[in-house]
Amino acid sequence: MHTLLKQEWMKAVKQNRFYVWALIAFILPIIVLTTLVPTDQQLVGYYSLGGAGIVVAIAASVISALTFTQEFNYGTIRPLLSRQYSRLEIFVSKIIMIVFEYILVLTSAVLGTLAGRLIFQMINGSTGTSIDWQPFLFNQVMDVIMTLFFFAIVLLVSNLVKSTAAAVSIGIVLSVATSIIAAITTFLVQFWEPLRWNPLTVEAFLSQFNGRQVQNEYMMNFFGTDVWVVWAVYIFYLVVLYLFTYLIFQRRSV
Amino acid sequence: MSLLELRHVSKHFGSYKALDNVSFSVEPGRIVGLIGPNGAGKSTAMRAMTGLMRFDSGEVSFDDQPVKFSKTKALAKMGNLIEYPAIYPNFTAEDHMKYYAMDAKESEDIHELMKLTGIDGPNFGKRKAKHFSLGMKQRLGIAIALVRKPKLVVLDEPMNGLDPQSVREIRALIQKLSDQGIAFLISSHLLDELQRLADDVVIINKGKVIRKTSMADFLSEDKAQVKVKTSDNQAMVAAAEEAGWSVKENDQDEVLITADDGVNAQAVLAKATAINVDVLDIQTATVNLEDHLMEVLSDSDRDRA
Repeated sequence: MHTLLKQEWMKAVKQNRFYVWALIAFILPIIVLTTLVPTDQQLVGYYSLGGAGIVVAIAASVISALTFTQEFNYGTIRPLLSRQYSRLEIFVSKIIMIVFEYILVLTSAVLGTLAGRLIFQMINGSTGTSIDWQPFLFNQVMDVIMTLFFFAIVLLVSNLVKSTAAAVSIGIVLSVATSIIAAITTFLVQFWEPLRWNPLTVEAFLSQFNGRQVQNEYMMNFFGTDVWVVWAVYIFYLVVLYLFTYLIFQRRSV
Repeated sequence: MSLLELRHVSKHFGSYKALDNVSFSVEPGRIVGLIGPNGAGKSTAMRAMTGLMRFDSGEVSFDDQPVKFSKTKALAKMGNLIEYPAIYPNFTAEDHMKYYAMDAKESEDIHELMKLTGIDGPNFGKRKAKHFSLGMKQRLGIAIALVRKPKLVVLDEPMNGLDPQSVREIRALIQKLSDQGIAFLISSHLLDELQRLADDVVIINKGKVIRKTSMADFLSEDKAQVKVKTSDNQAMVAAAEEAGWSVKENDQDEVLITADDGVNAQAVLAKATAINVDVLDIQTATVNLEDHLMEVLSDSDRDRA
């Protein structure tokens, strides 16, 4: 596994140059927060990572879409699979590397946001606001957890169709459309009750989760059960999606 | 004990039989040519033996271990280049070597191998693989197949895109490595090259192995022929048959007489003179893998029909 991870890292750096995403995610919030966001909007700017949130989401789509499809496109899938490693080890090493790259890009965006805040403070003498660190970091952790769902969908599509373009498109569409689809399905729940448990609605609700009492009650009202049950269902969906994706990968002749 | 062994391997794609009870083996240090027309099942057989494709029945073993789809622990000591080189466009040649050597317990000296396969020159250097020509990629593909100190190297069309000089260098390299004990299974449409390289030959047609033997034995099956053009081919054929010679006409208006049991150009000339037929042209055809292969394949097609 260690060797597989080293090889995935080499591909991430030399082939896919993921650091370009990390660099953009670092620079964008500095530019946005120091030049475009007025003092009274700085706090909102911090929570949206100075606009780098969308960069992180697109990076997540591209990184996850490329991980399998490029192996099929370049024919490198053959030497990758024709080795002493099991397909499970190869699959897991790829997932670990995707999540690791994503965390690095996200961390870069957070650092860029903090750097932007610092520079803004140096230029203007004050940011006019202070960051409440607990919800700020909680948001980032939630982002990582919610992105696992998003990765699962992109990986599923990329393994099914072996097309980078399709997988990236699905990723980008999902990153902007999940809340729209969830809103539509929430509306449709009144016509068919079980629809409330569809994965997109569950993901959409949990992505708003902040641990506060008011929101917990809202979620409990909607789902008619405890919040931990919603989390358990989310984890169940994740396991099923990754398992299904793995089975497609595991059974594919190349 | 065989290094690689396929036993009764079959594979269907729908109703199409891609491999039909295929059995053959590769011994250590031998160079085996896997020959057959397009769609014969060569690449399918190679994919089955490298664990890349599920097969319906049969067994594959390599280095005394079973090779199964998705259970390919045995493959640590097998290198392959199947269909086209597996190359990451943004890697340099050296990056590829480092990458593929990582998972080997014991790997070749990367720089030595790069030198041996001719991927160390100024043409390669820091250039990314996406800028390589087809021949350069092919050389890199061969180097990749060799980097993990394999016991067996499976090469599908290794001479593809190589210039004559490169073909000669790769041929010399394969021969040298074979002398060191590495076995090769090579599929190629360049039959002249295979004739020079291979110790053994496996001929596959329509998913079935129709011949497996040593190259020398295979070629010796094909007797030299005397090709003769005469003023009256029908009379010449009749006279040759009367003499008990193996004879046939080809579509270029030539009479082909198998040179066997004392039959040679001189005997054919003497026979033509005896029956008052003018000889317009006469030549002795040498033994040739391509011609013999065509013959064997057409016999196999005829048998099936």
